[in-house]
Formats: sequence, structure tokens, C-alpha cells
Amino acid sequence: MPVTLRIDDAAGTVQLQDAIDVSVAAELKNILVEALHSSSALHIDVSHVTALDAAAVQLLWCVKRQASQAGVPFSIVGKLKDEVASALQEVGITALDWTAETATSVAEGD
Amino acid sequence: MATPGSAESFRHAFQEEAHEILVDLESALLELNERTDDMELVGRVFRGLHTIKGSGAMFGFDELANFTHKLENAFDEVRNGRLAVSAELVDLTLSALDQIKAMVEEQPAAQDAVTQIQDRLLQMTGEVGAVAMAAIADTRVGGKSAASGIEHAWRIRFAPGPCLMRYGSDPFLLVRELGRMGALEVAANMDAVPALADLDPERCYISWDMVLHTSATHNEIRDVFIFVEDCCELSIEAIASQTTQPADCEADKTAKALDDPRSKSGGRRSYDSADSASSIRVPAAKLDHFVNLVGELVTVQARLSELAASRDDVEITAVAEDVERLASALRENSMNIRMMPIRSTFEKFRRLVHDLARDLGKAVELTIEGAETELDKTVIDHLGDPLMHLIRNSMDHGIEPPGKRTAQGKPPLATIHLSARYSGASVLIGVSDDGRGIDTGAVRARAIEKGLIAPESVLSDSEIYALIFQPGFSTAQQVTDISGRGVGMDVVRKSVEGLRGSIEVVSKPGAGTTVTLKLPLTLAIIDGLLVTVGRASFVLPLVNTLECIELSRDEIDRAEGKRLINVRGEIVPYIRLREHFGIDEPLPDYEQVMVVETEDGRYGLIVDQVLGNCQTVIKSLGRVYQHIQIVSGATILGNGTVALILDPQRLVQEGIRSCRLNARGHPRASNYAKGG
Repeated sequence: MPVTLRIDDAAGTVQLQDAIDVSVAAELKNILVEALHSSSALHIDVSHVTALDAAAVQLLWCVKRQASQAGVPFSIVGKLKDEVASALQEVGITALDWTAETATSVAEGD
Repeated sequence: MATPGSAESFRHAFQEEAHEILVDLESALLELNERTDDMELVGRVFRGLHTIKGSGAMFGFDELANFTHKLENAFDEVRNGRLAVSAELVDLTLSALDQIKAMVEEQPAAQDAVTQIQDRLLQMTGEVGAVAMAAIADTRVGGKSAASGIEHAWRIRFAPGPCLMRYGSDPFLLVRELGRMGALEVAANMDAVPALADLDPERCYISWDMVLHTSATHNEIRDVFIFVEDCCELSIEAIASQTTQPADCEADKTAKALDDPRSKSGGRRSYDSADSASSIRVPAAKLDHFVNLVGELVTVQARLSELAASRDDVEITAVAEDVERLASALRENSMNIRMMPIRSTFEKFRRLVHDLARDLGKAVELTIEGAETELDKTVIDHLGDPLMHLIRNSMDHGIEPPGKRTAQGKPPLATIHLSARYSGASVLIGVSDDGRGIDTGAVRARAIEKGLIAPESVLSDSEIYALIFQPGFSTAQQVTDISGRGVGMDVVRKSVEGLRGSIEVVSKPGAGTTVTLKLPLTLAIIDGLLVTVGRASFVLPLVNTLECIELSRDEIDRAEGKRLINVRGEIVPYIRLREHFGIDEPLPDYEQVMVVETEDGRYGLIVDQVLGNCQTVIKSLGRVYQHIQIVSGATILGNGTVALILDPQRLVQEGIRSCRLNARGHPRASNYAKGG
């Protein structure tokens, strides 16, 4: 399953696996909506992602904005693979902070 | 049949798509012939050729891809302003399209023609190339800048539309491809991304503002987006034309370009409306099968309604009524699915008019009205031939050469006008020209010469016009390649009759002729009257039926053996269906006369009872019975019995024929054969 949601102590972690693109975008959207509504904090684990396309990126950017507007703590956890990060830089995607370990990780919350 | 997903099915899909592209290409070229400096049209032609070449190569049509590539090169030269659009180039390309069509259909293309076209294209583009080589300082090899490195800076704004990702394109790939053409400064804009609940996951809301430093041309940059141009907003503007190297480009210059207020796209874009309707391609055979099934369902529903009526059960009656409502809606919908605009049929004739005008040395333009009028697919499929014959006839016989037209005070450019409009349950297709009109004197003389009419007969203009549709009739002094054998108009008449339609001709000497074909909207269903003769049921088409009159014994006696009835002072001959079909059952006290309108005049058809209106799906009787002209099909009634659908025109003609035969031995029978 490329997109899964795990909730631990009200903090939701959306685990992304392999290529996240338009073919799973609808599923990703549903899970993000659910995660946003049922979690007190939202984390997106990108460490196992092998590719991101425009559909995936805009969903992640959208949920980040929405979490911020709703006052829900949000973070990208796990290091994005170098090749995926550089592919995103080529297309000017710097709206999300993809770099390395982030302020809040799931492990810290355990 | 190719299994879905097989190589065969992909080839079919390519062939279908290629045909559509070829039709569009032909249309674009003919328009380009009139507007040679229209770069939109040039772009449209280039994209069409590019698509056919690319798809052809992908599906193994190598000869086609190679041939189309030569055409594509020529139009690339046109796009770059190095080759002008000329009548020769348009004609050459049109001829090339004919060869491409043969290649798409996997028929042997005329190799000589292909070679000739290729050689001439090479000559045209080679001449341009020689000039370009001398004029252009730097040469480009494989798209990369040579050592002299003349680069330009381009500001590119790219905003994908609602359908771009849905059609399988990835905007990231397009931006990356730009990045491979030179140094690319790129800023992604997320302003248009809506709230999560409103976000359509299959639509791209990200847009890009970029500055590209490259030695590629504007067209080469544009080609990156060639397959998505219709689903995005794209602008490519040169920022400065001085020689620059990417390393020398000041960062703030780029930043300024990106900070240009025009580069900030707002949330709304010009296409930000509901998604445009999409359509899917369905094989005609599948659609026919679906319509058949719906027809069967309606038949069974009719039986259910009859059964429900015979049982005194409120619940079953209610269910039967619901089923009837749904079945009726389903049938109406399935009939609508078969309806298609006549546009593509009409547009095909632009090429015919163009080629014939050239061959005949006449100046003719084709105008079209009502192209969006929808007809049943089967009717449209059968319209091509009759329209072609009418246009050929018009071009050859009707339209005068330019010199003659000018001498008559007419504009040298003649017009052929194709039109389509609804008229009740029919559609009227018109073919009119502003030529010399029909010479009724010549038609009459030729008809007498061929023994079609007696020398002393008095005929109205419309009766004279009807003569031109007789087999072998032609007033042409000589047979040309185009017309004159007297075959074409007979084909028109037969085709129209086969479609249960009619033809009307109106003509004015010196001003032109209009031929109007009146056709049913659909052949699949018929509005009819259900009648009985003995225990047999028949359906008479409502479109032909004028009225129903009771025939009493007195009326029969008054006729003194002649099969005639008096309808408000008009004497109308009649045919007894029970005699015609050999139905040997007791006569009712009162019979009914269905008065029908035919090309031979008004006739009556005697039946026992008229049960009422019925709208019914016509089922073919199959090949075994297809020669039986008086029956156009059959339908299954609610009680499960079969009713034959009669063709009144043919019935009457058969009746007249048999009477004439009988008249040799039975003088009385000749009394109701019209024309004596």
C-alpha cells in the first residue's frame, strides 16, 4: 500500500511508500483528509518515497497549509531520497521543507 | 476481433485516430489555401503531421512515419518563416495525405506518387536550406549550440489546464525537458491550490514562471508542449536578443524577470470553469448491440404491461408502469446516443469541391449551414454517396466557368451551399448552387427521346425535375470523368428511398438549383399505425398515412366492381391487403381504408381494424427476406406476435404492376392502374 495512516496517541503519521503520483492521488487525498480530522498532530513520512509528481506535491503542500490554518502541528519526517529531492528542485518545488530530519519526528513523540 | 490491450487493438486505435487527424489536416490545408499567412493554421498542420508521425512510428507504421517526417520538415520551415505557403505546397500536401491514408489503412501506397512527392518536398526544403546555410552565422547540431553559442533568454509561463494530467501528461516532465535545453531558472507557483476538500486530485494547480537561456528557437521550445498546448496556458517571450551566456546572467536580472507582476498568476485562469465535456470512443457494433438489447427490453416491457392489465393486481400494475417509464427513457437515450452531428460528412466535401474546381477550371467555394444538426449514425453513413453525386452534378452541369459568370453579371466565384435543419420528425438536407439552373426544355426533350414521357404530355416543373432521377437519364452532351453517364442521380434516388426519404428539386434558370433531401432522423424506430387483417398484424408508417376512412358494403357496391373510393370528391384507388397477402379469413362488416401518400399519388390500403399508434423498433427480417421490397422489417408486439412493417410506396407500385399484368386478361382490373 503506497499510502497508509497510523495514529499513535492522537498523532497521525501518513506513511508514503514508493512512487506517489496521480494514480494514488485520490487515495492520498482521502487519507490526508482523515488524518487532518482525526489527529492532533500530523506527520508525513517521506523516507521511503521513490518519486513524487505534481499531484502528490500539491496535496502535501495543501495539507501543510490547511494544518497551519487549523493550528495542527505539521511536519515532514524522514529524509527524502536525494534523487527525489533534486528532481523536485529541478521543477522549482521548494514550498515544502524536504530537507532531512525535521523538527518533530514520530520517534520523539513515542 | 482484437482483444483489448493487444498490439492489434492498439493499431486499430491508431488507425481510427489517424483518420480523424487526416480529416482535420485536410480541412486546415484547404483553409490555409485561402489564408496563406495564418500561422495558427500552419501550427495546426504541423501538429497534426507531428502526431501522425510519432504515433505511426510507435505502432510500427515505419514507412508512414518516414514519409510524414518529410512533410513535417517542410512545415517546420514554414513555421520558421523560411518557406512560404503556396498553392503548390498545399496541393502537394493534400496529395501526400492521400498516400498517408493508404498507408494508415495498410493498403499499398502508389510508390511513384510517394517518391514524386518526397522529391519535390526535398527540392522545396533543400532550396530553403541552401539559403539558410548562407544566411545564418551559427549552425545548430543536434539541438545543442555550437561553439559560437548564440543564446537567447526566454520568459516562459506555463499553467496546466484541468485536463492536462487527466490526459496522461506530467507537468514535471515538461519542465524538466525545458531544463535540458539550457540553463533554467524556475519558480513554481502554488497560489491556485484550493482547500483540501475542494482539490481535484487529478488536476494540476501548480503553475510555473521560468527563464530559460538557450540557443534553441522559439518553435523548439514550443515543441516541448506540443501535445499539451490545448490543455494549458503557455507563453514564450524573448526577454532580450543580445548574446548571453548562462554564467554571465545576473541573478537579479532573472529575479526581476520572475518578479515581473505579470508573472504572478492569480488563482483564476481563463479556463477555470467546469471541466469541458469528455467523450469516449465506442465501436459501432457495440452500440448497435446495446440498442438491440434496449429494443428487446421494450418488447418484453410491452408484454409485461399487457399481462399487468389482464391481472387485477394494483401492485403489479404499478411496477409495470414504472418499468414502462424506465424502458421508454432508456430507449430514448439509446436512440440519442446514435445521433451524431452531420458536420464531418459535410466537411469531407471541401476537398471534393477544391479538387473538382481545380480540374474543371472553375472557381467554387463550399459554404455549410447547420453542421451541428444531428442524425442517426446509419442515416449519416448512407448520405455520403448521394451528396457526392449531387455536388459533382452541380459542379459539372450547374456551375458556369468564371468568364461566363462574369459575362452574366454574376460573381466569378460560385457557391455550393450545404445545409441541414430539422423539420418535424425529419431532417432536410439541402444542396444548392448559384449556377445556371435546370433547363426544363432540355430535360423534357431528353425524356421524350428516351421514351420516358409521351411527346404531348403536359408536365409541371417539379414533374420534369423528377425525370432527372430516372436511371440512365442525362442531358450531358458528353460523358466526363465527373458526370454524364446518367448513373449518379439514380444512385441519389435509390439511396434516399433506401433511407425512407424523399427528394425535392427547385430550380430557377440562370440563378441556380436546390435539391432538398427529406430524411427520417433515425432508421431504427418507426412511428406507425398498428392494423390487423384477419389474425395478422401489420404496421403502416405514420409518415405516409394521411387518414383512415371506414369502407362500408354500400361504398363497395357503388364502385361497381372498381376498386375505387370517393374521399371528399377525390377518387382514390385501393388495394386489399387480405388479397395481396392471401389472407383467407371471414370479412368484417366494416373495413378500414388507410389513405397513404406515395410518389404515384394517393392510394388506399384496406385493412380490417386499426388498433392505434405504435412507436416500434424495426427489426430486420434478415438476408433471406431482404428482396421482399414491400416489407421493410418487423416488430414484436406486446403479446409476443410479430407484425410486419409495410412499405406503402412499394405496395402500391407492386399493386400497379400486377394490375397492368392482369389487365391484358382482365380489362376491369386496369381501371385502378393510374395512368391508364
